[in-house]
Amino acid sequence: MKFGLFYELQLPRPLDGETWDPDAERRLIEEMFEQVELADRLGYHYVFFVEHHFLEEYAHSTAPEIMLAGLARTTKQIRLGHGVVQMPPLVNHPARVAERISSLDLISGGRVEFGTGEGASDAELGGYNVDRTLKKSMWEEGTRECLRMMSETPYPGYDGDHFSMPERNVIPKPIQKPHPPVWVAASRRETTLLAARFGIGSMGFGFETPEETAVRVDEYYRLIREECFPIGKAINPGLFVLNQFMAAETDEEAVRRSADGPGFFSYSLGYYSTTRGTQKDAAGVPLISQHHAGVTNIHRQFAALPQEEKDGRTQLKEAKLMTAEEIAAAEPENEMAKALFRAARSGSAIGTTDTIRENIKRYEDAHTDIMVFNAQCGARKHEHIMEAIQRFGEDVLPEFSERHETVHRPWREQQLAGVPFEINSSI
Amino acid sequence: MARYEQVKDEGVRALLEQATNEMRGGAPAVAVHACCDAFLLLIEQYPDLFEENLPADEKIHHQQFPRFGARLVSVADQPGFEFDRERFSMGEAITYLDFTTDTALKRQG
Repeated sequence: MKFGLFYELQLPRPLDGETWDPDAERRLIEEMFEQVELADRLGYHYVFFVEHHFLEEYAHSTAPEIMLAGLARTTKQIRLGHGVVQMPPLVNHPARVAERISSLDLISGGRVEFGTGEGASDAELGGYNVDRTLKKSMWEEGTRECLRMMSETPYPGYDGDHFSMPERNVIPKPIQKPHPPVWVAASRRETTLLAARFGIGSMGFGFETPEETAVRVDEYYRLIREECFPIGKAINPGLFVLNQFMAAETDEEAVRRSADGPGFFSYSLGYYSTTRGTQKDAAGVPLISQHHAGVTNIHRQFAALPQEEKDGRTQLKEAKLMTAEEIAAAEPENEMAKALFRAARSGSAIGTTDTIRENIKRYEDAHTDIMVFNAQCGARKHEHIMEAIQRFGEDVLPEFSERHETVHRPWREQQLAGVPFEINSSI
Repeated sequence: MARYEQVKDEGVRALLEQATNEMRGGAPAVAVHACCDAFLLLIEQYPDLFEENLPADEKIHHQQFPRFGARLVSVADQPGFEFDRERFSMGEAITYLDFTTDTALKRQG
């Protein structure tokens, strides 16, 4: 199993003020650079940045290509991932994406991972006038044509449902041929199956258990072998799982330092999610409907909650995503509720390095390709994140990396034996 | 073994097989219609699926029958589908197929 870091660039508003201090966003980015540069030196394999728009506090990573371009010049080996580029042409024209991905591949020496997606919340889709019912079709068309632009000379032009352009040679071309490894954000289970059928990696954002991961891995690789018709010119078989992360000297200290980071991550995700959000006021009115852009302090709303609400249970119950019985059993059946619940409570990579090693071994046993850590979330302290990256990188990562080469790679080769497509994968 | 082959109900399985073949043959719109027909058959067998999948703002999109141009509706209190457009992409067809197949497999236990 390989490892990476994952960045939303969360920036909760201050609890004792109305908005951020003027230096807060610059500081957040500077700290992120220090974290990723340390991870690069320690041998972490990947860093991924989201692209979200207008989701204040939840995600200030709105221009990941800029962050990745900076990191391309200050890091040596870590692979630079979009997690993901929003592919509806109304947000990013496919030719501009092709130009940016190829340019990033050139300045990074061929280290790009090309994650793709549709966008999710109405807050961001509405900001770019993307019709929710067309977003999957837009993603597919934008992604397929973008990959052609990177790999065909000249690109012969296209007259599609969502964009058209005449024949042009889209330049530059990437170092990685025919194009960098391609991924898709898979919040829903069917998208993992779609990823397999299209021959691309699946970025699992559902905080799956090792047992669920094992089932998903089996099904994914079977579809790759038997029912794949690639969307690109080369396939990138692979699955990653996202996990909450904090390492410290003792389990208690790790939990303390983890603080409400995962809880805030889940709360703010639910706040913005879908059409109405999952967070409601005492009268049952969705908070998102009262959202005042540039003003609303989501962090203060979150901090005022009783502890049992900070882990998301009450809101999920009110949103009818969890029943009283499920709450009692502490695990909802509903898939979206489960993801939010686990995002708030998952502790499998929170603890001492011994605890983390033992917990994540089960993901390795399930043949997970990559585990990506959500280290920077909520109001966590930079120095704690740095220490966690260092502890894990020195104590745990090397042995997993070694087994990746000696155990996982042969297993993967066996899974992919006979697949009749070119493979371009960094796994 | 294709995923639809695990579905026990013959009618549902036949429609999912048809959807799979249409998709492979490059006709995603026909595949989407076959998936909708299969889902209506499932609703006949498990009526609670209707209420569970009727689109509503307060429901989470991810958990319901996909809303990519084929909408589950109530016509004279009977379940049916309305189609916003004639063209569907391959990815949309795959999503409808896998959601319907998953629903059938979960319900049959």
